[in-house]
Amino acid sequence: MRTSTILEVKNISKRYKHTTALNNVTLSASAGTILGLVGPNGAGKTTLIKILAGIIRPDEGTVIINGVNVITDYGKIQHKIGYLPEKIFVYPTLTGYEFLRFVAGLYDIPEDLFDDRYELYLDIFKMGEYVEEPLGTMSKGMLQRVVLASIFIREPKIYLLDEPFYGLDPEGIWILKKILREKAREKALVLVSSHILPLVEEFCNKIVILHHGKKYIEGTPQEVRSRLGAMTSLEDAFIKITGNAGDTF
Amino acid sequence: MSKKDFIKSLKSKQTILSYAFLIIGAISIHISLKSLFSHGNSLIAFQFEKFETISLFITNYWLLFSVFTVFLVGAIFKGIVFKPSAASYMPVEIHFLKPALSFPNELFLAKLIKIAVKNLIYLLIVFLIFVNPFLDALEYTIILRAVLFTASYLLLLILMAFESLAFFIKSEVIYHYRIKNSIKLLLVTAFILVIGCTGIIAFGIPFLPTTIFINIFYVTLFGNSFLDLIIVLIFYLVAYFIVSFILLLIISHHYYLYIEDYNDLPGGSKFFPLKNKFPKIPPFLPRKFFSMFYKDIIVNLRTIYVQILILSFIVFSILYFTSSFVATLVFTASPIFNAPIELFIFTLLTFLLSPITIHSFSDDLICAWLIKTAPIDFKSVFNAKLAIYLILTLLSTAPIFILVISLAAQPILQTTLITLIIIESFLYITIGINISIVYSPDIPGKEFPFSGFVAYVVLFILVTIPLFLIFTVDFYNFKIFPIKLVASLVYASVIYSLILIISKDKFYQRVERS
Repeated sequence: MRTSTILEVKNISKRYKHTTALNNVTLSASAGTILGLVGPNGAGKTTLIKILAGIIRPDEGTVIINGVNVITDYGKIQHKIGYLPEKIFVYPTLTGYEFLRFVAGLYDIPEDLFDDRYELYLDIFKMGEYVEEPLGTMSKGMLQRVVLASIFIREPKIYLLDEPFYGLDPEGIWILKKILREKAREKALVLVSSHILPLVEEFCNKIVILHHGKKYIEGTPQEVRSRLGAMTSLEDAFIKITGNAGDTF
Repeated sequence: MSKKDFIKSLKSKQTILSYAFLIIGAISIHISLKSLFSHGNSLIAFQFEKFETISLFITNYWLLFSVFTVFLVGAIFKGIVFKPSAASYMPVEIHFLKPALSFPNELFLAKLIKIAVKNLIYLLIVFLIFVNPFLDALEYTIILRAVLFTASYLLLLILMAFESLAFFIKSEVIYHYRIKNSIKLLLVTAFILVIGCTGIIAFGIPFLPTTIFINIFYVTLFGNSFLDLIIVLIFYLVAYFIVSFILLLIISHHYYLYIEDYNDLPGGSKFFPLKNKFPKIPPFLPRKFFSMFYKDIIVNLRTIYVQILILSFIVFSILYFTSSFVATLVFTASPIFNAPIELFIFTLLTFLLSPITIHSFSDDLICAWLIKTAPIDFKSVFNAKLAIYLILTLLSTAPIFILVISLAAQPILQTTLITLIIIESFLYITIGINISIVYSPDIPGKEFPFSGFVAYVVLFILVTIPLFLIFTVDFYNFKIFPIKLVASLVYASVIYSLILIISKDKFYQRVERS
């Protein structure tokens, strides 16, 4: 069991000037897991993903991915991580194709391999002629597709995707779910944060609910529902944990 | 920069120190120029005898004319290709300010006035520090100085108006073309042509505003003798200014009322015919470095700064190789550049004409997540930028440097000049990249803060002083030149290493903050 654990987060804390973004969070996931990170705004989801992606350092705690300490030896693991930020800022004057080539170059992907994967994901994400448009002129959904393609072209082993479904149309969401399920079957770890709770419940095989920077609960969607009482859906459970929505109505 | 940003920047010790150094530096340059043009060097003072200066300028009328025409064409070109900064709204302005406006073009006009006031202050500083000592040597009266300043400011405003007009007219034409309203398209074109031609014919205005400005400058060289003619010429400029701003009021009102939402074209990315030109990297080359390098080339080629730079380079090169103005300049320029101090000031000022490196990291800070998570070390990113901006800066300053190197009569002078240019440009770019990391705004599209420019100038001057001291030791002794070269290379590599370490720390700090 120990050998299949690909992600181990131990006692992670992160404080900003006036707020505590994460407070002693511990979680783990094995290869092939689709882990859904949910929580209200300001719960610490984005901070946690940024720490796992090596963008920010925690104040306390350790993050081990594939046996490598991300905080001290990030360079050894970064080529295996595919990170999608919540707010996507890219070079507005580069075209989609140029951006994909640029990323492929940064990750040292051979030219012929890039050409094959480019054709594959161009087709999967149905980017068509849009890929030749400058990124600055693209719609949110199309930009999301290009950046997602830039991650899949690298074929990483760990997918850290912050709100990957936001901005995608139903077809885009369907495509993304299909690819991510395939990647999980190929023993990759997929971690997604999302506010679309029915989608997380249906898509993920493990859920972590964060609230006020703390891990509130961790388990399969069924476990989470059953441990929180006779709830009918994850949405009900979420409302019960995070607020007093009933009081306002 | 807004008032709030300015007050915030004043709280930083680094900014206060930079401003203090800038003021001291400006006063020093002013005093040096004043002494250079009047009492400091009798040879130079002789060269600036009024009659000879006038004859020199007259011989070079076409050079000045070409330079100012490039400015005019550049402003229109910039307006056609890109949105002027006054017409570029930030998301917060679009969502919150725009719905509250009384007139659709109110925000645009407010921004335009802000830029006009800022330009007035910049022009005043340039006039007081750099132009005034020169005018002293030419014995300009206070009235003539005021006339020249007014004409310069009017020209600046007209160029601003032309830039915005070019943008609005282009947008109108594209809009009517897209909705296939050929009658309105024709009407818009005819309206602009009629207004333009009527103005020029009715008032007998010489063709271009830049031509009027050059004429004013030439006439002022003859003192107060042609004051009435100067007043007429100033009125021409005022007429240009009024007509262009009335046109701007009308067209901007129409644009913001009917066209903006329909025709809000982002960037100018479609202008440059570089569609999908990311070249394949041969396997024997370091792929990560060259990916960064190619990306920077493409991104830069699609910016207006680099396009204008290339255009200017071509124009200046043609002028240099085809005209005979070099011969007339040899007469005055040669003695000036025999003195090391002037050589130093000259190279500093020439580099400061091309501060494009301060934007080198702007986009990369916005896309910091990509650079930080990619398996590329910061040094490769830094060096790729160093290479591309070194090429661009040397390209933009090359016409001036080639001219001066050819004018320098002695081999030691030429060798020193070439060495200084190469090492200084290396340091200039290194500092510029660091400034870009420290000062680039967090919000995309927000203009670069003025304190960044100040810090750039100050840091560059401070860093190059030791270099200058190395070269001035026994200046004319060719035998010790190799020692000076080694010393300066060691100094430059130490500065590079220091700046690389500081830049890396600052970059990661900003990534964490973002």
